[in-house]
Amino acid sequence: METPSASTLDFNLDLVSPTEILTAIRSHLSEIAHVESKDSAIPVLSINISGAKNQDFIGAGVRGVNEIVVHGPIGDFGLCSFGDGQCHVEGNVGDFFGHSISSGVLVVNGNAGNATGALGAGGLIAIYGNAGDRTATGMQGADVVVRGSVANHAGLGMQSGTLVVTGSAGLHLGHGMCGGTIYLRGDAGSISPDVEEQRLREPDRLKIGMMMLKSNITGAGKDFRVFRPIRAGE
Amino acid sequence: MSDESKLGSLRYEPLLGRIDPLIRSESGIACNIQASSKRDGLFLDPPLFTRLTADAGLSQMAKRHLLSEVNSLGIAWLGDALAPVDRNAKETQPISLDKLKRIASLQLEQPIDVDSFQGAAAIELQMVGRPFQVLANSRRSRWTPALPVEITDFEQVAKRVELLRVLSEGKCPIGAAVAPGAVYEDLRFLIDSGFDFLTLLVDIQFGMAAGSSLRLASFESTMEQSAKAVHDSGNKTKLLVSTNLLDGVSMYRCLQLGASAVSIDAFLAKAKPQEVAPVKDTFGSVLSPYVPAASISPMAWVGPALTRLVEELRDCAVYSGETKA
Repeated sequence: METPSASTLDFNLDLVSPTEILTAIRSHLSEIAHVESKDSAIPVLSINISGAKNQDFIGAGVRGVNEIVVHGPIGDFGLCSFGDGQCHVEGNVGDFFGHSISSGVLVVNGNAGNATGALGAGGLIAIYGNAGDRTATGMQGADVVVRGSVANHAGLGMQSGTLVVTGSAGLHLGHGMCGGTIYLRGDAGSISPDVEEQRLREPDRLKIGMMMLKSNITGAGKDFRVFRPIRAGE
Repeated sequence: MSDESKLGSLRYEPLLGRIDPLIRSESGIACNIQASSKRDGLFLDPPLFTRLTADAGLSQMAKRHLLSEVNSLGIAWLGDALAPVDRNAKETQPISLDKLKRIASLQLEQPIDVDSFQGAAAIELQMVGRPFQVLANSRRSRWTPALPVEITDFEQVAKRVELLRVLSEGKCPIGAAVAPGAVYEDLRFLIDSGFDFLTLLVDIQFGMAAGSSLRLASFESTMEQSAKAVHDSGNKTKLLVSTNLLDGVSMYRCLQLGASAVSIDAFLAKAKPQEVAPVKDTFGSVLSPYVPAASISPMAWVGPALTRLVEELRDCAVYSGETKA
């Protein structure tokens, strides 16, 4: 078996824009695919992005990269449409982080803004701090784990996927939800009439445990409350 | 009561009023968008497009046949990228993907898939639907004006436009398809949000059969208000109009009223030849189930009809002393 070739790209956001980063990564990936098309080895590509100072759209559209590390806080729509691989953000993230994520793992060592994981179709987002309003809005299959608390309207219009909150939740938890599951360890400001609380079963414990393990968060899948929509499957 | 007067009596509210009051951001009311488009927008030559490929629910085979005819004339079409050709299917004419003028469609609740933008000439956000709600048993409710589900204030629409621009690396014009509600207010807001072009859905053609169309608003008043909105904004935003235009002359008139391109959907539905069933009790009717289908494409009539249409448009332009068409 061939050893996969590894390469690393470094970007400084003081010098390049998010669009230029995306263009450079795409052209690099197409070059790799062209050169190594005859080999069965999968190329390993790592990206380091430094100088992040709350710019919007950082890492948006990046796919096919094995590992991305972003140093510093990022603005809105960070890592939008992310797929394949892992990304660590060493700082806070803005609104719409991980919007439309399709696969892979996003880890944030800080707090997240509003609408984290909105419209996510797959993959996992782990927030080590707190998350803002409308976490997991309209989510369609992705998983979100928040180690801290979430603000109002968590799980708004969720269609499928899982939201795990080890802290507490704000008002209107699960408003407009028509699929998926919310696991909440703490209290909720108010719970929407669109969802009902169910008993925590063994499969739920296993699922929470697996997601926390993947998110590198210590803890067991017990003491959680389970919320599922009343009109599921419509 | 006529259709026009019924439509006139319907009460529409601006897009902001359609955000769920529970999640609406208070700051959104004070709109301060500075993302106006500085681009020339989408340029279509000939100024024609079709939405049948997205709205009519055509089969892959029918879609390929339609596109092979549309492609040769350079007419734009809305929809997803073509699926690989089925080995068992007989393709009458190979389609050159490079020359296709595809407008990638993005629904409100649909996750943004960057792969769907590959090879697209433009991206169009479909700002219609009933997010978070089970659709009522009504064809009209599907075309309710709406904002993307995750949007809670005006400023976020401009950012979403900018996001689409980043994801397409600035190569594609970004547009929105909007059903006429509060036309002037909605168009001013969308133009200020930075869209390069807007598609006005005055009539929807949801099938190839005659009569399978739906009128959403009065054509004259919608065109009047939309042209005023574009003029007042002082922007270069292009207007595409989907309405029931059955010949080249009426399309040319619509272009004169301020549209940059018009849809050919109603024209195609009208131009489609009637399927003539063999008369019963004849030798032909007995044999017809056993006779192999003709080798010509079932959409072969599209090419000549569209060629005549383009020529008619050019005639109108030459007659009026313009060369726009």
